[in-house]
Amino acid sequence: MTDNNDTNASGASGGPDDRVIGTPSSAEGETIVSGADEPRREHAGPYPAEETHKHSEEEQRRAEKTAAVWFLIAFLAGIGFFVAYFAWGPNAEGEQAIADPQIAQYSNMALGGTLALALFGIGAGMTVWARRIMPHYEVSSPYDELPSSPEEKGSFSEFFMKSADESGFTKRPLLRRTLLLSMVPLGLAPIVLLRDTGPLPGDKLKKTLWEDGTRMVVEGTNQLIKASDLAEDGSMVTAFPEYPHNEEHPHGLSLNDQAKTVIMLIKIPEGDFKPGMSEQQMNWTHDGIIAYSKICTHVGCPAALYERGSHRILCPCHQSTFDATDGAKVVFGPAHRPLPQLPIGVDDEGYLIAKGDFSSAVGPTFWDAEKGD
Amino acid sequence: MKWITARRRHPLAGYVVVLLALAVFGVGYAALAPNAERAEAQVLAAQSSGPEEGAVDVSEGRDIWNRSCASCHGLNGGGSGNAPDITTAGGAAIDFQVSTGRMPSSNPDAQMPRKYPAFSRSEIDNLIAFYEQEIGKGPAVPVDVPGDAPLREDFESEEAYEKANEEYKAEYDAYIAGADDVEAGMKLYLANCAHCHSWSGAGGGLTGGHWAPELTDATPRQIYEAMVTGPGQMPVFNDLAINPDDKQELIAYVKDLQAEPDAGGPFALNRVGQVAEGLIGWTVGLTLIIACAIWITAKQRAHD
Repeated sequence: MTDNNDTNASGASGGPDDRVIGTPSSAEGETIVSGADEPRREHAGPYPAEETHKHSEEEQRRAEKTAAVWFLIAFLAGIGFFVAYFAWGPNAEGEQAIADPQIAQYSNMALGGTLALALFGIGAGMTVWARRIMPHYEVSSPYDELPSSPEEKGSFSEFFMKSADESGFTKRPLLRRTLLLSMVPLGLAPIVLLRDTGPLPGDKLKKTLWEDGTRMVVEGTNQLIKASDLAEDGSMVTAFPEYPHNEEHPHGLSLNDQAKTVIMLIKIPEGDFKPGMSEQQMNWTHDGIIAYSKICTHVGCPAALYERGSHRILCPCHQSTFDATDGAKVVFGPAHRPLPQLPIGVDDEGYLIAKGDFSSAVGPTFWDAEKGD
Repeated sequence: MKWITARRRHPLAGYVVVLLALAVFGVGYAALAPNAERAEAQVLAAQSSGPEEGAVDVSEGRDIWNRSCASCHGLNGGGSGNAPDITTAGGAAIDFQVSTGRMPSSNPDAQMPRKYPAFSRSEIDNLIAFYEQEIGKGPAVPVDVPGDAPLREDFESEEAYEKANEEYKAEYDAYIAGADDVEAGMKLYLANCAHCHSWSGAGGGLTGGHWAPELTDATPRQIYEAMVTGPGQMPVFNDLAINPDDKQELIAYVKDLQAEPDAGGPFALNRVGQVAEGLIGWTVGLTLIIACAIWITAKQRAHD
């Protein structure tokens, strides 16, 4: 893949050096047409032009065949389009009707495929034709000088300063200062108007509906969960706080509250918890059952790919990975804060309950997410 | 050879050589590499005696255990360095692993894909009977959930096969129709399964080279067994947390997913949906268009 065309370009160059980047140098044009026996054709146009890449008659004949093959392919594909169109009738009662979704897919594939091949064949044939049969002229049309001359630049700055003096902007400080003063409030207005984006969140980002004594229900079935339901090692279930479905709340929890309160309950086998877990974190578990927020601390996807073997919790969006046996510590990925843990216990009847709110703010991390309240 | 000599200095020649070499090595490796799973399955199928209808045969189950399971899981199922203790796995786990062809595994270090089972239905039943009698206890096979369709090769006569097939279909339809609320099943699927197995049931990647398999071929019984036993990295969803009726609804929903026509045609992209298909279409399509544009406008060389 070496290209020796440019090696002697600099030496042979006699023309102007200021050629536009991307266009061939004049020297190159000369070397490319090597051994051109036939006389060069001149291009009749407003700019000087000369022919490059002389194609011999043999080359042109070969290219003609190639282009013809492309056109034939395009022709056959065009015929194929009609075949594909008429092969599957629209009649829904027939055997091979396009009303059947499977047949419709094949029909679409065949129609689109043949049409694409036909158009591509015509384009490819025309490209071969243009590149290998038509004569090539190199036309040079120089650009005008772009930068302004020093005189023009100087006269503009003189004119600008003269006008500033004449208007009084430099000579009359009272005028200038009152004008600037009048602009200050307008400049501040956009900043002050930011207040309209709403009241400050307060503690809403850090408080959820979980509180001491709230029972848990299985997401989807609303069945209350007992600690004994998760007795088997490796058990897992997604849960919400128990919440009334009544006239006031016909759909139970609002979507917002679902996102904030949803937890994964995971039963970790005895002895699998890592020593890195603090005593407090261990107290927040019950009989090997640990509860984490299901919402990833990176950008809030549901991180729920729990692997019972490695105890990793994986978020499917950006592959943040948390260690369920180590307080959901981040072991990989863009999240940089553990999943919030929910302190849990059981009540007198054996139902799992929360023993307070999450250990930190749920969801995507913000500036003071880790600070307590 | 003149043809090659003329073109070996072509700008694309290097790429062509690399592509050809990769193709030769790839295809050659695939052809030469011992396909151990297939070989083992064939050997086992050849060794096994003909299926017996009716009662289970514990001694045949013991034979299968000693021959195909004990080398890794131990004679009493206690496991070894490269295989887990399965004394508490239960008949449901045995049925799941063997009927999906994942066990016996030829490579204990890797997750096994679904493949054609090495044993016939009656052999699996015998193995489970032996396991439950002598090895261990755990979740039992959910016998009222329909499993695999009967295979012709397991039956002596065509009529017996037809009859078994009809019975199976009736059982299957009754089970799916028995689900009260498929929408509730969808909610359960989206809350508990979709993260790993994808909302289309096409499966997806996990960490450490593991993956969640596709659900496109799973029978209702296999789905049920996977939920109650938690094979591989999958957590357990036992009958207390998600009761059998809810599981039935969930399975009916998975069957709906399986029946969904594949919108991607030959280029399904794991049924990830139109947005992702569009993205791929744009990327690949634009690349091709740019390649065409480069080809059309490329400056010709003197020796072309």
